[in-house]
Amino acid sequence: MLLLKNSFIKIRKSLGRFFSLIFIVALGSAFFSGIRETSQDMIKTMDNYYDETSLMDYKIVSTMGLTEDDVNSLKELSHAYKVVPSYSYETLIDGNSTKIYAITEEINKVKLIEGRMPTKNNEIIVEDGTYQINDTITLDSSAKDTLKNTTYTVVGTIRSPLYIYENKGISTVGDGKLDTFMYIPEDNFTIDYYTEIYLIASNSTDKISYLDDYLEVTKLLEDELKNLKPIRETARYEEILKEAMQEIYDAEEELQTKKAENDQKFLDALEEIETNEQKLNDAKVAYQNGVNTLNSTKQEMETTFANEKAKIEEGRKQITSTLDKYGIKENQIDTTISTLDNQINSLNQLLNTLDPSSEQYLQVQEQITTLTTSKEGLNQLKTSINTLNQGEEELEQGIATWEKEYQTNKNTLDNSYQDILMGEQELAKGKEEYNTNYQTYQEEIQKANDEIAKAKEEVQNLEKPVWYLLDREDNSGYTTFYESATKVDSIASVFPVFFILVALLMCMNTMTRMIDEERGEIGLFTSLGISKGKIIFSYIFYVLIATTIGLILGLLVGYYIVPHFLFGVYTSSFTIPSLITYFNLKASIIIIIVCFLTMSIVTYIATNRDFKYMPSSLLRPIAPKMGRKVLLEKIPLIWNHLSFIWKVTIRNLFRYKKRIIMTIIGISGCTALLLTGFGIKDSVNSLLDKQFKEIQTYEALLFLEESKEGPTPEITELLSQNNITKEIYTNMESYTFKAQNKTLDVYVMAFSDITNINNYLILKDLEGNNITLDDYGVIITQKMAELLGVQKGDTFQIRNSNNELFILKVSNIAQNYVNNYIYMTPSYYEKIFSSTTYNAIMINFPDDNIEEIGNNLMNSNNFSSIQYTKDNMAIFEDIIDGMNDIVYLIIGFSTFLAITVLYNLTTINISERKREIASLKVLGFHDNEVSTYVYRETIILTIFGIILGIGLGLSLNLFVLTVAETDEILFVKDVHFLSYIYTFIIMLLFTVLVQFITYFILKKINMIDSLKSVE
Amino acid sequence: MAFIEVKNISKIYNMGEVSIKAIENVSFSIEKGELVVILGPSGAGKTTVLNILGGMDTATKGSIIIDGKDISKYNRKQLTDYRRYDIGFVFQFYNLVGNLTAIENVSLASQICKNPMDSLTTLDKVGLKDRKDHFPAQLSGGEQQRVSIARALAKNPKLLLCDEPTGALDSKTGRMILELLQDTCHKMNMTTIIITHNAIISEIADKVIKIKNGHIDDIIINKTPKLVKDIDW
Repeated sequence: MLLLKNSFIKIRKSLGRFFSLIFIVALGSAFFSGIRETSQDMIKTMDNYYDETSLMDYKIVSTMGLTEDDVNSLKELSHAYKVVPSYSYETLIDGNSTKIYAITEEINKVKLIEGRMPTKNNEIIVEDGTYQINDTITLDSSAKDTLKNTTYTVVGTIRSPLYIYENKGISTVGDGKLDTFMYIPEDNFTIDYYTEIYLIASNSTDKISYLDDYLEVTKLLEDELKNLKPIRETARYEEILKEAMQEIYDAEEELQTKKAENDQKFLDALEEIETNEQKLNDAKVAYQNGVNTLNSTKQEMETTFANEKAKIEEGRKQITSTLDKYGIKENQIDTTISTLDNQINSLNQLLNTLDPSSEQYLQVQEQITTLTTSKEGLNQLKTSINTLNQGEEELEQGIATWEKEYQTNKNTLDNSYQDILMGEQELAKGKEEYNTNYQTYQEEIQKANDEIAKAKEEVQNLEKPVWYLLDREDNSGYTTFYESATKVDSIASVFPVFFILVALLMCMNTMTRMIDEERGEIGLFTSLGISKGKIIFSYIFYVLIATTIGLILGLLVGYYIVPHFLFGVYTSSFTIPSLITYFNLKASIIIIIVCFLTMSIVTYIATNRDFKYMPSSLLRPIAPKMGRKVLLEKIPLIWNHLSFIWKVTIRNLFRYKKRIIMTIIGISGCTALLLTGFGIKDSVNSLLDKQFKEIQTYEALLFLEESKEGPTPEITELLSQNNITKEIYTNMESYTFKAQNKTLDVYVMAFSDITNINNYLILKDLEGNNITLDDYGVIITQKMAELLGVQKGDTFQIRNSNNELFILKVSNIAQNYVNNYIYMTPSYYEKIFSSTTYNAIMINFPDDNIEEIGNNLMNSNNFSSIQYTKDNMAIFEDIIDGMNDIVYLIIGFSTFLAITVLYNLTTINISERKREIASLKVLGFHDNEVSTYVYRETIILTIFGIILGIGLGLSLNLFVLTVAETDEILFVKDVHFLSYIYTFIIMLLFTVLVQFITYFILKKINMIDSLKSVE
Repeated sequence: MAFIEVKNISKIYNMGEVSIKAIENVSFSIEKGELVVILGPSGAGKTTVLNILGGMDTATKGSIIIDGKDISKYNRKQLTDYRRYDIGFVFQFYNLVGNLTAIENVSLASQICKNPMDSLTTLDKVGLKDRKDHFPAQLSGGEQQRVSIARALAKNPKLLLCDEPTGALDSKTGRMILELLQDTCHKMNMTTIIITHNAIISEIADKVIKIKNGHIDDIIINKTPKLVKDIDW
């Protein structure tokens, strides 16, 4: 009992040593337990979350929607625990591609962060951090085809187990990347088919997600689903085919009916037009005749009138000439007649008076006769003038009458001409109308026919609906999380062992020193007759107290703090619940047992050594270590040129071989840890740059909506409108290959343009020479070649999703760091797969407006999605951030370890040489001279340890990276020059720091100690 | 004025509430080249006096004037320099650096001094020239102490302080060491102070300062100091 009490007193007296023991144990156990546990905690936390939210195990989507029949047949599966059909709809909201889900009560439950769940159809819950409660969300009007409402009020914010990762996968709208998600009541969906069916496998909830147990249980359901898939696909195909054909037949019938009706109508219309045209023509003829008749009558009349006029004129002329003969004028006729009458009368009277036989009589009689003739002539003339005048009058009257008649006729004709013109216009209009209508009608019919033909063709080409069976691993968040967690694990797993080794070594060192110091006491106890076992136990007791405290601290830190630290990284890119830490009892018991055992053994070995001696010799001080000349002294050329202090230092260096070894191992171990930390950081960081800036240099892959034989003018035009040129078409498909008992994925890529491939993909062989594709084989990537163990000229097998086998020949092996690829020419592709179409286009953007151009391209409906290289990078960056953090942790712990080791070694060094140091002080060495006297060795040893550690670190780095490498990722195993510098500087800095601390310890060493006896 | 003038020095250790007076009002003077023995039983305070004289400790009160300089006012750095240049120290347990040969141990001290004596010459003086390349572990106790003395002398100090120099040695070897010290003192005119509890040794001294319970008990001037070989061990 007294011995134990003595142990407690020792603790109080040597707090520094005791705490350094505690610290080493705590550091070792915290690191060991914490890092090992982190990934477990992460997985358990997530499993808890998945169980709580009933995350689906499988999701089925179909190219043609899913029906109640599908649901029913799925429900019959024996391993299906839950089958929940549901709806989703993708649309752009405020420029963000958004997936709107129906709220499902029993699967993929969302976690409400704020607000409440929707109770009304116009209420919506949104991803936490996007919209505020009471915000209004308005959908495009096209959403009306799918949803009842297009305006919603945000009532709550949520997170969903489907989207734990900031990268939410692909979208069919917008730039091809899903930005956010929302949930609305299921009643809102008006479509008559389900868009997806979620399933939970029986017993899967009991198993821890990600782990083999889970995979085993879900595999049972998966097998069933795979069997059901073709059956349901066919059923759905037939159903759709039937529906489609029915629709076509209906359409055809309708078309026929319509055609029949309308054709008659058009015929009637045409006939009417023709009749009208005939009538118009008749009218025209009648009019022409009228005009002709009128004209000829007019001519006739005019001739007649002219003749009459001429006759009258002639008469007039005769009259005039007669008058001229008479020498009178017309108006003198009557007067002349009267004169003549008078003359006649006078002559008659004269006659009467004259002998009838007289000459005179005869003369007079003759005169009378002449006069009478004249008179008669005049009368006659007068009569003919009258007659002529009368005739003229009549003629004029006739002309007037005629002209009247003519005018009347002409008017009539003119009117009818006007009618005809109008008629013609109407007719023309009618005809035009008819033609237009008829043309439209014909076009419509053509269109309808075309449509039917197209529909028929479509039906003929109707592809079978395809069920896509998606499991949790198709959710990038789900897998990325696991990748991150396990990556942490695999890197971390190597370190703790190394760590524990260094810690153990330090512990041994400390204990050895302690026992050396207490040699006299041990001798005393032995001489007092206390048994060896009890004495050893008292030391073990001392150590175990330290170990226990160290373990308690270490395990608490390891289980409750370290995981949080590592987990903190993930919360930035993952939307997940807080970490639940578990105290791993099993692991901690093992750690405790191992620690207790090793510490006890170490102590036992250190203590037991002293019992070789007799108690009396133990009571005497340890004989001073024999000074010894070092090898270097035999080389006078060097030795003689060293300053005295250096000689002393070199001599001292070799004085305690154990200390050299301890220091070098300790320092080199810490250095190795540090360098490995930096090395991992370098590797993972340069990985991305190498892969995405030096190998796959394309900025995006545009996935075509439909596979194409080659460039189409439309797409070329579209791309050049967006200033994208020199695009290369590629066919990118996923195949599998088997290597080392695993089925692994590989992308097969064939390119439309081999000569300019360097714009997008830089192929270099393992020596760094540029290589090109040829038609005789494929280029495969480094990691795949490694996994398959193939070389140039070898053949290997790949399989497609239908398990068909293809055999390819390796023509070269290319550098590549992320994923596995098989590259080939289109003709080789055709040779192997017997067809070449392209499903994607590799492009580079002309400027930084990537999003805008992406949106433009996606709006064209030519592309189903865009995969941006920077997004790809981002995914890996997250994994790498995770790795970087573990690296920081390693660096942090290594730093602590380094400081502890350095401190420990230096204090031991000092404690061993306390007398010597005190003597030096008495001799008048200044504080800094004393310090240098001690440090010089430590610094030399440290530098030596660092150099050795760098070598060791390189191997450790290589080892860790090889262990951490996955089948898809090949690490770049170069350590940057800067990392060596960092490591060196950090170690040196710690050395200096520790020396600084020990400077004060040295300063405190009491000179008077040097006067005392050795013990 | 004497070479060393110690006036009324006291050393009080404050251990919390209790204060222990190690020495009180100690005064004495030593002339240059004198061999002085400070004599006293264990715990009398003689080591405290030595520590104060050697610049390893400071007096609480009083002044110590050595060669005209008051070291009681010295700070840490000045005290170190004082030890470095003015004091040669011979320890009871030799305190040689085990990893250095005899000559190297001497050089260790001499290389920090302003005008040291040649290490080899010094070693020759103590009669160990032949063993200069031996490590302490290869030397006997007396030899080690001689190396220790050589180390102290090589510094060419003003004052040689010896703390029970024969304490760990058998009488024969002790005698040799004392002879060496007396010789050196006389030949080199080296002021030498030997601290001991052994009254016999005081017979070789020019001056004996007796200390008892922290006080000066007596100061005896020995007009005819005995030679070492003449004293009865």
